[in-house]
Amino acid sequence: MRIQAKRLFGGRGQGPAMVSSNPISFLGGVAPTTGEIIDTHSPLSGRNVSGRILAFPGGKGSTVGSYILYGLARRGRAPAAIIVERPDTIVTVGAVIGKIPAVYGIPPDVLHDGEWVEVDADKATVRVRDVTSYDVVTCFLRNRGRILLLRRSAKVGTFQGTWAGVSGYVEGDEVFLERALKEISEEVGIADPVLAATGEPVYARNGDRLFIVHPYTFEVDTRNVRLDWEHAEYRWVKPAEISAFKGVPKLAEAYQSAANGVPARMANRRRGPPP
Amino acid sequence: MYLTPEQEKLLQDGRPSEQTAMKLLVTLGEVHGAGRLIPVTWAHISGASYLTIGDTGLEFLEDFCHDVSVRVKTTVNPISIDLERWREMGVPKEYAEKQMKIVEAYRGIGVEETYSCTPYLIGQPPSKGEHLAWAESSAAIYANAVLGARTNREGGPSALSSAVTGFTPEFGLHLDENRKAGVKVNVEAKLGGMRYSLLGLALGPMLDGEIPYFQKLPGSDEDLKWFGAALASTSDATLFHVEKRTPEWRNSLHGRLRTIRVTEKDLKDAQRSFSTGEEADAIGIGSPQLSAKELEAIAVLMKRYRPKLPVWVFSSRDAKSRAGDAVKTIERFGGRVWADTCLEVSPLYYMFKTMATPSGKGAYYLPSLCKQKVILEDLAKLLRRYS
Repeated sequence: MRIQAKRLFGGRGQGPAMVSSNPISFLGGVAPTTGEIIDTHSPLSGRNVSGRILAFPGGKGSTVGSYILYGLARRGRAPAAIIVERPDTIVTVGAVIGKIPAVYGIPPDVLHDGEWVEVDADKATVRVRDVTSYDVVTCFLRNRGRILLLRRSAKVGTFQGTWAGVSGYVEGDEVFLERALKEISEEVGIADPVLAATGEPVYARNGDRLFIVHPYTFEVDTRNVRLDWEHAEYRWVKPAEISAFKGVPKLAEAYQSAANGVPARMANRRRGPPP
Repeated sequence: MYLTPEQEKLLQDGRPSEQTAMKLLVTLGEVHGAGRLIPVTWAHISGASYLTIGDTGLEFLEDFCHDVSVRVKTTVNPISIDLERWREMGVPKEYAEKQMKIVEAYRGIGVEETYSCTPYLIGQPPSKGEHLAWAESSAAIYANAVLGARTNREGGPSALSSAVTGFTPEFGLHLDENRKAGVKVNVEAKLGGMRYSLLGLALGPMLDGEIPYFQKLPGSDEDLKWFGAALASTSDATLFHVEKRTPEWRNSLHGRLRTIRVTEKDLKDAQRSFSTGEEADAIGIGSPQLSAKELEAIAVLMKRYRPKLPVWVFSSRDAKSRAGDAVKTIERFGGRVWADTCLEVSPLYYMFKTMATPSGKGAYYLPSLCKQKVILEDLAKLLRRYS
């Protein structure tokens, strides 16, 4: 897999991933001369960040943490590269003054601890050789405030019996939105859905596969659903109920991303005027 | 991000540290969605105390400062010692030497050696609408709220980058639309003295990133200094508005806002939760540093109460020079008036274990930075208790 992140500071680095699901406090958390994690509350306590691809949600604690990253880099003890989900000031400043290759926008759970990761921060890409990524669209249809959830049938290839939005793999060079419209027509037989919002991608890692979920919300003017073979059941639910369903990985996150996404009016404008 | 030809040249062909500075400003700007870099008239740098930045901070400054100079007016936050009287502070020589290396690094790039967290009290303060790059949260909130100048809450390295380039990325509080009030605050409690600090400490956790708006907040500019410093400690607030008082209150309200009530109980709870000590070893007054006017008020109290334990007063060299008589009085009655440093960035742990203070910001940082237990109490009450 090779996924697109955003560049924080250029350069390239590769090495084994060190994955933290918790924010890291560099001041008091990481020894500035060795790179050892000395925060006894951290699950990574006792390990060493040097030469690792450090993937974590963000920094926390004192802004002096930036200097700790600088001190590590100065001694050749810095991480080989940084993958941070949310680039706060501590990590941003630390990466720039320490000249540490760094990208952002990728949550740490995309990676498995210990696997070999290649970061090209100039191109803002993250690569893991033995993992295959799949682009998937998922559509949340909305009618009078309720959202359509579908239970996947026993005949589909993945996540049988779990709940999902209208979903499908993107094939080849296909435009994501066209795939979304095709899936809505095939899977639930609803015509003329109106795009409401486009969310940021959500990543779901499952073994040696990574699903890059592109979430959308659509307004529809009917609750009449005609299921095809891919689904066994459907329900119109309140948004707050989604997390209570046994869903496909990251279902609730995908909905949140779509609900908070760029409104369609702006998304259209962004593409510029028609030729 | 759009860069002017001049900015592009600095990024590509500047000295190594200028290139680093430009990269840092551009990266911070891109992360925050800034469209361009704008000129600033004044940079205020934090991260000057050896107590806070330590050896790796010193290394960075020595590496960074050797080949650059400031391009705009630049002031510097307090260091960890009084440059003239550090021996009286119980500070070992090796510690002072490390601190002096930081001072030399900043001196080398041509800063004004203010060593003050109240740069707005030294010389001509910034004007309404002026763009600044100020680190030091208590100074940034004061400049935005009380003076109507415009600055984000910078960190040490970003303010330093602005100092040597003259630019800051245009986002956040530099833009009109981000300076509107987000929540109304009703204070249902008596105010005065230390209670402005308590208000700041108590309000911080009640905010959810919004800019607070007060229909009524009496009190002097000094009171707002103590309030803002405490508020900026317990939240990331860097601006507030007060009706008929602060420069931008007229245009700051839009739409319907929720209202927060801060009650007498909230203030008492804040005082209790930040008071962790039993018996004080000393009284510390500062954080932020005291103005000349405040030094005069303290001199009167010292003469009246003649306290029997050490009273350490933190001010700027500038204010100290303008309140010479007050300083003499304070010292005659057992106090010490330090310059260049401030309460929670000096190594108090060489002398004391429990510090009594009327400063909300001090109470917030003293336990972690200076390993102190804290008694947070009104100054007159403290001086009377220990007289």
